[in-house]
Amino acid sequence: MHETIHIFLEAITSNFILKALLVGILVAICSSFLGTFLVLKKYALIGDGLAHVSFGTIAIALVFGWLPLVTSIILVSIASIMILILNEKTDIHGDAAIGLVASFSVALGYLIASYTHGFSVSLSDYLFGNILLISNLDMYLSILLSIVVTITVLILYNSFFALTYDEEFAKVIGLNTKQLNYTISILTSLTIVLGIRVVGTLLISSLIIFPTVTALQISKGFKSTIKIALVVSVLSIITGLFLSIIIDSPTGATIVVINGLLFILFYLKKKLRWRKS
Amino acid sequence: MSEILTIENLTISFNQFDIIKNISFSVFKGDYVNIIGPNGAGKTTLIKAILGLIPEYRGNIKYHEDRIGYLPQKTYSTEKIFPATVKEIVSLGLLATKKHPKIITVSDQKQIMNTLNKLHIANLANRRIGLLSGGQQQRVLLARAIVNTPSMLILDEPTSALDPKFKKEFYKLLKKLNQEYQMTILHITHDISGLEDSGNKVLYINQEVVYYGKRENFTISNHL
Ligand SMILES: Nc1ncnc2c1ncn2[C@@H]1O[C@H](COP(=O)(O)OP(=O)(O)O)[C@@H](O)[C@H]1O
Ligand SMILES: [Mg+2]
Repeated sequence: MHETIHIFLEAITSNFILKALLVGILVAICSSFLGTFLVLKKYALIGDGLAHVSFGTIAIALVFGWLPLVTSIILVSIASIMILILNEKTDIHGDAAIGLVASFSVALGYLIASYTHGFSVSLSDYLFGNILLISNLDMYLSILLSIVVTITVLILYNSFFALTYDEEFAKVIGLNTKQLNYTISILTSLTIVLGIRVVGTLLISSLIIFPTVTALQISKGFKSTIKIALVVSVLSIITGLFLSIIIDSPTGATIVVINGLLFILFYLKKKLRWRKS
Repeated sequence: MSEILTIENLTISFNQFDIIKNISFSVFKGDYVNIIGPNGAGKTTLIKAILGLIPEYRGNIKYHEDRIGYLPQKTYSTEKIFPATVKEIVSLGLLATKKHPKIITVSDQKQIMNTLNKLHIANLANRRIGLLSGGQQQRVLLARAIVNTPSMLILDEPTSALDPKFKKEFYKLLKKLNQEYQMTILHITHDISGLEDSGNKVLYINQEVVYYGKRENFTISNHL
């Protein structure tokens, strides 16, 4: 058993495609889980916002010579909490709070970078993702993250469902809605930071949004939505990754286009079903 | 009879404007209180305070029961796109007393189906809630409120979307819950005709308490 794991890790750490595949699948699992809650709470754009923040934090990390991944994880988590606090404590709500924090972070990151050496690495790697960039650290963190997200979602599934359907009723049945919201925010931050390695800053929110919206076309219940989103998410990562290698296309963009095609397919399926009945 | 809810000198203001002023009253186990008053009188605000949904208020709210069923006043219905079956929505009413991971068991499923049967909506169990009519949705939320056989049931204008036939049945059901399970009921209603034979008490508020006491002693003409 131990031997098998060792051989598996050996193979994966030395092969960037396997590594990308593993990280991709794990990120797909997390983003589809969280996506269902975020999309239905009308908070889907937090993915986009936090991706911008993450971009800003990478600039800061590069300038100060910090580890980009660790810097991003910490700063993006803080930003996600700040968005929640803005929502709670001020009149600035939802999309406006996200937009504020996101643009401020990008601006700050860019300012700091421009005063020092500027960007030395390829910006497009961070904007559109680059699977060659995926490190062993990324991989280990993805494994850890997906375990944490999966266990959290399993334990808090009904609480998250209550929170998503009706926050007021969730409070009445004694749930700590604040803590639950913070939990979702932090898990989303981690997922975004890792997902950026695969599909990049500009496309990461599609991993949060597409699988859920696609699943909504044919699902009836909440649980079935999560299950379908999970399958759609993982499927599009696997197909996208292999297709991009075969036809030599950018990986992130290919994954997102496949997500788009799946959405259209499910949408047409729904339309056809309605016409039949 | 034991006191189940005590409100003392409750004052709630939004933006320095008093919505509720100096309200005091007590509710005893098994009471069935009709709460009435004009629009904007503060009825919804009062019960939200009881439910712990309003963080800032002056005065005291004490209640001595933990299982509360709540049917909110819905001015909107569930969006069509929201993916939740009737069964899933009703299961939310069972979560309050469960410890994490708050799993819905097979016996819970039975209890959910029993409640749906009681409200004649068992046939809707696996339908998406957002695709039902307003009255059907209201029954589903009612099922969510009573599935746990709460010790106190709080209803905010539950009859607004119900058709007359079901309304009658609904009053019968409340009576039964009240008598069989000694369930305490706080029922906000604008349906004055329902006052004729349901409940033992009337609370009439208009920012302040205008009347609180036995239903028999309450004459509508004196107050409206
Ligand atoms: N969150 C709030 N912020 C400001 N005013 C509110 C809020 N909630 C209710 N109100 C005001 O309080 C008053 C009482 O409202 P409500 O309790 O809903 O009355 P009722 O249920 O008796 O019709 C209304 O004038 C309403 O506009
Ligand atoms: Mg009201």
